[in-house]
Amino acid sequence: MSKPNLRNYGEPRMSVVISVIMLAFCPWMLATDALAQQGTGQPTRQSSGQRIERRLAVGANASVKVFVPSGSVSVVAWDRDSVVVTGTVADGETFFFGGNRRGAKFGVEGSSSGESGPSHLVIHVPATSLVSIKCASADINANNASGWFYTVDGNIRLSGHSREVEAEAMSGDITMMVSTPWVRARTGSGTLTLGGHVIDADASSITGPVLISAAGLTRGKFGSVTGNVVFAAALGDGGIFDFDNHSGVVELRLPSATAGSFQLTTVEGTIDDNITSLKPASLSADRGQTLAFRLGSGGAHVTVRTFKGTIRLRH
Amino acid sequence: MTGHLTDDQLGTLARSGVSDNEGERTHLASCASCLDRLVELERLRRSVQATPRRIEAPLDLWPAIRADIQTKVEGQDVDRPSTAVNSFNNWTQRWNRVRLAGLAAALLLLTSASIASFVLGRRSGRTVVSAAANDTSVVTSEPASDAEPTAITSPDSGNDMARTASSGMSEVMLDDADIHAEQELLADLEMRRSSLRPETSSEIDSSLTVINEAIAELRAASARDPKNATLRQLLAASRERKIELLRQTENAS
Repeated sequence: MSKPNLRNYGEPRMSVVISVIMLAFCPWMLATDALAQQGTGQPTRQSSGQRIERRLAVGANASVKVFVPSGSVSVVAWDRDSVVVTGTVADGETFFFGGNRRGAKFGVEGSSSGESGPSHLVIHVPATSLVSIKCASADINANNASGWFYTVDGNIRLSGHSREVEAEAMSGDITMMVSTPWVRARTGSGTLTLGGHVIDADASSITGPVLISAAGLTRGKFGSVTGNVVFAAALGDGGIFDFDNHSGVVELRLPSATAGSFQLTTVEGTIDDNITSLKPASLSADRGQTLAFRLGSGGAHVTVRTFKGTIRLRH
Repeated sequence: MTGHLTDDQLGTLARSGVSDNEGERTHLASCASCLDRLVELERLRRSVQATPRRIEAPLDLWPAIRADIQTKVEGQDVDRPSTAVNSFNNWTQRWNRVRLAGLAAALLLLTSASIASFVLGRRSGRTVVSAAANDTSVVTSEPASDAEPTAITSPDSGNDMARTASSGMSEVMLDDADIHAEQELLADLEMRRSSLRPETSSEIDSSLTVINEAIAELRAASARDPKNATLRQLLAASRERKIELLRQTENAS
């Protein structure tokens, strides 16, 4: 029978002593850190790899600038005059935060290696503030927030009520289910979906599909280079709608009670019309079609131009 | 010098007209490709310089505004009773005229600034929907039956014709400015290229390729059918999309 190793009985005691000391000092360390981060409004730096929490009192119309390279950003507008940021910062990266009553600027700085790890921030901002959020691969989710949202290959999802919204992504998708008077959205290869309630919209892509189903539209400019544009919404009375596409399809799915004047032209494509019984005229002997017609009285003014993309009309 | 001159080097050369760099001079003397690009850049620079820096509002607006103000002021004079406070009224009248003239001048200035910013800037993010719907080269549709909807057989109003004309004019005037903006943005992109992630760089390149191919197709079609307004409008839209993409890339690094 072997003897027990007595040294193993001593080590736990030492660990307990160290733990007690650390626990005793921990609140004091956290408190001094929190005091250092708050109050001055000066930019501060935070070692990475841990949870962060920052608060700043700002004016109701403050500007809030955020930069997060990778991970996710969730923006929630609330009825308080303060900005609160919580979340986690990726290992090896630093969190910076600064601001005053007029605005706040914060974000995550990548490591020197160039590759960014995922950081996840939840940001509360005053409902009437204007945010400006820039990401590389991070996803952006925002509810009731107004402002500019940019990501390269992350996805952007916006919802709620906004004063105005501008969103840009390159390969990421943009999904907007917002109630706002004005929207501008651009994607490259990502899908652009516009729902909710919008009065004035300008949405386009390079190769990604553009899907519009927003209610309340009275001004619309929609287009793509090769992506399909599908408009399935009501045309506001007196509205002006402009669609252009190079080689993608432009499909108008219109309610049966639609009124307006329509001018459709495709230089080398065809018009596939299931709404009227009109026959499109040919532009030349072998290619291109045009169709101009009116539905009902008054209504919207709609122009569709494509180079070789099909123009489809559906109820 | 082993490689071709960069856009930045060529841009500097096009601006200054001379190069202190012996390597650049030697390369230019032997490289037809770079020389062609330099000549093209110089031509662009000259054409951009030839565009008006500012556009004055029409001077003949002022007489009409002044006459209108005069008429209104005189109308007020007729209604005004002749009393002992005439001197005060005269002073008020003069002050009103000064105020109205100031207002008119401000309006004139605003109009001028708006025109200038529209023509030269063209950078507003707001939706500007062209209502120039009617393509004058469009062949009329052929109704297959007498039932609704009604076919529109010609541009339906003078207003639409005017809108078409104005958009066409803007397109021509904006052309050189757009080329200049595009060149600058492309040069900026190349300078920032090393700071872009490889996947971002690749995404930008593939988007640019798609747009450039579309522009090339539209240019070729436009050359075959130069009076086709739809082609011009599609070309303008594609070029605008390219500039927007290049501006978008400014935030990608």
